[in-house]
Amino acid sequence: MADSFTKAHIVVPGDVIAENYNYTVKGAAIIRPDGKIVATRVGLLRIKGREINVIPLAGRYIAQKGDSVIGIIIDYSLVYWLLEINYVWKARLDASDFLKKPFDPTKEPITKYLKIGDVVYAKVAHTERGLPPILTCRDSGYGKLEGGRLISINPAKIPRVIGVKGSMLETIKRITKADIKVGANGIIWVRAEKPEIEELVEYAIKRIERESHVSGLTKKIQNDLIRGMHRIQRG
Amino acid sequence: MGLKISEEEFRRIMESGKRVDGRAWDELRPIKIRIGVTERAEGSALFEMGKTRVLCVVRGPMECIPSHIADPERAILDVAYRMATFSTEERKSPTPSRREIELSKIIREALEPALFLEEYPRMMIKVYCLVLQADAGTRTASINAASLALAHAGIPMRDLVTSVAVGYCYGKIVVDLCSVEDELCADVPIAMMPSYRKITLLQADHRLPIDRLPEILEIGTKAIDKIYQLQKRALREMYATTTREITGGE
Repeated sequence: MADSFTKAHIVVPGDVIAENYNYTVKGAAIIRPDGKIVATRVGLLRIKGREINVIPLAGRYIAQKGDSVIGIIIDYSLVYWLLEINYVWKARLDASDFLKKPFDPTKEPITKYLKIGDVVYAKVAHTERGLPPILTCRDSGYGKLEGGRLISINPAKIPRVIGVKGSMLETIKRITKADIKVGANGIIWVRAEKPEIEELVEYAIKRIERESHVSGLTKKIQNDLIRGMHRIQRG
Repeated sequence: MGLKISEEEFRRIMESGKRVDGRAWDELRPIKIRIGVTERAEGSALFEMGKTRVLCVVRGPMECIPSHIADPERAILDVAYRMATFSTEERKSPTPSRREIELSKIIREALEPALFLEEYPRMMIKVYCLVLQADAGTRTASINAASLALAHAGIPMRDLVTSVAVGYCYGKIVVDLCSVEDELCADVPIAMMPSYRKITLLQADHRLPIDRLPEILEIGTKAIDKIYQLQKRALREMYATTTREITGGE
């Protein structure tokens, strides 16, 4: 049974992928008590040796430890901020985790550093069943994002925006010279010299989301961006 | 809408070996499925079975509202089955009736065994089933639409849930009742997780001989398998463009 699924294949809930115990399972699939392996979500089936992997194609963003996300501050308390990250719960970012040093709320107010509406690039440090996730900015590259614009897309399409080994994202960055941060939660931040360039990047990202099934998309996006940049430079 | 005939006439037609709308005994009404009909919600599906038309929309997993009903072990499945005021021949009052509240519970219980609710503790999954046009079999169409919308929303499921109504009258077993048959036959709605061969809903609204029940279930299962294949095909086609996406990229 499993041999007929060797190429990339769409599975839907209840599809029997294999009928014996010879496989290990990753992603959106389970081994039923009777030994059959079935998909639990709509996804792409990948079989590598003895490993079955179902990559989900739909669903909300579910925070996982280690994800890089972009959040917007919506509330604060004495020592932490609450961020909207497109997840079921608001995420918590402690002041000391953001400042990378101890924070004393009796000496300075937390709003000195981040206010409501500010955008932060952070990493998910911890998640717990049924509780809000905790973010951190302690690693390098994370922190407040100033200026620019936010683009929101379907979280399932984020891997395509990044491309194989980051190729798509590298192409966009190389041609437009824009600062881009991609959040696993489907939010992308772009800042460039001119607002026209930001618009161009937004157009390109929306096109990737819309036409993600087209093969050779990286080339097409590259041509689009080069043409767009010429037009902007000519004024 | 629908044919109006007397009971005697109906009986005469049935005993002459035909159904009122000319279908074979085990023939389903034409089915039409559309997935992803609304943009804002995570999942949505439109399911048509003959003249019955149901729109189902799924939101979530989301924060549990009101928060005091949140379960720390599992997600709450909230199903609302409603009939639009324009769905019936006479205007239906928009107030949820006793029947609608009961059907919401029935649909929830038919769907719950298929879901991994324990993966989303303290959260809520909302399912809205809106009957746009009612012509018998709205609960079965709602279950079919809801399981597609849940799959479209990316909620983990053991299997799709598929449902059909089987009727019994004058010694004959009919599949997928139309409104005339619904009025005059004993109606047995069945919902199943087909790949598990497990029944999640079985009702009967009239007397029927118990020794015919195995036959009714067998005929119902066959009809469910047909609908199940259509459901899976509709889901696959919906995502077919997305596959090429990833195979093309790597």
